[in-house]
Amino acid sequence: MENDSDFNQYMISFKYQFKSYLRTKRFIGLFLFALIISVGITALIFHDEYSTIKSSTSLNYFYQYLQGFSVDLVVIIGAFFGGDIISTDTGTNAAYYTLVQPVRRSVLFMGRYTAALISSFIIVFVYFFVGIVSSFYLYSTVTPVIFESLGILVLFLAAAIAFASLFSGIFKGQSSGIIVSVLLLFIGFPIIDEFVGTVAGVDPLFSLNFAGGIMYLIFQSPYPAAKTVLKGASGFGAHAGIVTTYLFNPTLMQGIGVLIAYMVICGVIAILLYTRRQIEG
Amino acid sequence: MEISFNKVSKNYSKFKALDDVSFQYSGHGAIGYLGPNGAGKTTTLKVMTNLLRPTSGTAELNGIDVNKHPKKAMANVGSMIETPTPYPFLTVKESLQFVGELRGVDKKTMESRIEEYYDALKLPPLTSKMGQLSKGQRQRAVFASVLISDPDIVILDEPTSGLDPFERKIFRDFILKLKKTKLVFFSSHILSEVSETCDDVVFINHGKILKQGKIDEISQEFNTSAVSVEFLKPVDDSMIKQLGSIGSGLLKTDGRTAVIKFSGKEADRAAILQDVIKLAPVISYSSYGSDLESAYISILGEK
Repeated sequence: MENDSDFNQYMISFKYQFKSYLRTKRFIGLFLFALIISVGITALIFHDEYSTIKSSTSLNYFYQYLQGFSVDLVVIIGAFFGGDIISTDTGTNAAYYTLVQPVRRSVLFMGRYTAALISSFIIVFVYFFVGIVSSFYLYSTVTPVIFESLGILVLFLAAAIAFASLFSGIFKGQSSGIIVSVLLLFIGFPIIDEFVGTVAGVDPLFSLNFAGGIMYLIFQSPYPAAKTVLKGASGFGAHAGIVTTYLFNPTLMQGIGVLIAYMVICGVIAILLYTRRQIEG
Repeated sequence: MEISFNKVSKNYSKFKALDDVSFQYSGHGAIGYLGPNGAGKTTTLKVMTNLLRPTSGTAELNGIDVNKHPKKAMANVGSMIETPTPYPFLTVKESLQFVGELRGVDKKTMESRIEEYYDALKLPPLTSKMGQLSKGQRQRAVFASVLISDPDIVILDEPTSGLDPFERKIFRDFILKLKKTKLVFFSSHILSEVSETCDDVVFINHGKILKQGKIDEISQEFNTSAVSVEFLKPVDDSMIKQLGSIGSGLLKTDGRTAVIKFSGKEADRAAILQDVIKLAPVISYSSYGSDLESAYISILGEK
């Protein structure tokens, strides 16, 4: 069987998983969700700040538009597609169909991972696409920085899916991995970032969401400072005092580094978990 | 084609699901793997297909350790363990193509095999989504995927469990056909199915192999030593008294039927018939239970 090379099998795993994803209610539902959110945010910006944005630039518009929900959208979509990459086998009887084939589990995983990445990209691209259309409408042009941002989007999605796939390898049930990933990425990390960064004054570079912020920060010109210390008055009378808060931004290289680290470390651990997983059933 | 289990044990904490299991089969034929629920049948098949790792011992397919080199070992092996669920959003045809392509089957061969199995296995429409099929339809589609690469070894875990008689017949006929050129190893609860299709049989209980051998030899060893006689009228007390002195004695009565033990020799069986005819008109006269059933009860019942 000369056609059963790892690369061939990777392409086959990707092809059929991608076909399968495109037909799921999850894909269709999240696609519509992204579309509604995109149109909703655009409508709000146009309604509240039309005169301001009209006199601004495409670069500023994208910063304002993407800052709104893009990071949240990426982590939600990433969690939904990565959260059951492994448990789709172990949580259902699919393992008896896929894992008895002469194919390495790591190859199966990579095929699924790629299918999840492309499916997620299509959904999140809807958000970007609405921004691009708006930019054309407002300025008859689109800033070329959008291409850099789309590149970061791919990396961010790859990291988010790898992070979620780690939980799909830990939990047996399909929904458990998705729920834990969504909770951690959508609620957990932002809360931790707030305490560690804003209050404690420690750079939250460990955070996936924080690092993913470079996706819209690159639209700011000049690029924002890595650390800003803000001092403000608080309290009244005898309780009056100065409160110090901090604002951190990852540099472009820091952000890319953290995203790659998440993608590689979580991906490798997920593959190891998948390879070692026994189907006790 | 060869399946070899060498002193395989599988422990779950303190529970021993498999305890020093060994057997070896080569060449074409069908092997029935028998045992009650929880005996260790599915665990054996899971170790055989690398879904579980043995605690000790080795499982080899065609001489290759399946847990060390699963891709190589499974290349010529098709298996259907438990109730496989292919991706629900793929069609029947896509599910077959998925397995065929993974196994390196060329497009032309795959198309002709899909056509062949569509008729032979009475597959559902090829454009149906797998998630919409009944259990029997899905089982037949998965069975087609097992055969799509024409593997040397076919491993099946209770393939007819939960299927209707029509679907069972399809599987039974296919196993009879496959065993002429392939090594088929399958577990089952249905003894008639095993006795009709298998050449060898392995009995397992509590994770231990209790007996294995040629089905004819085992049946001979545990052959039925009782006949069932159905009279025209109900068996009454006077008949029971006389039946007690026929053959090796009366085993039981039920309405018009009496079961009489005997030595197992054909001459004694003929003599019993002559004796019972004298008591009352006989409607039917037959062996009590199947040979394999006797073996099953004797081997597994006493442990």
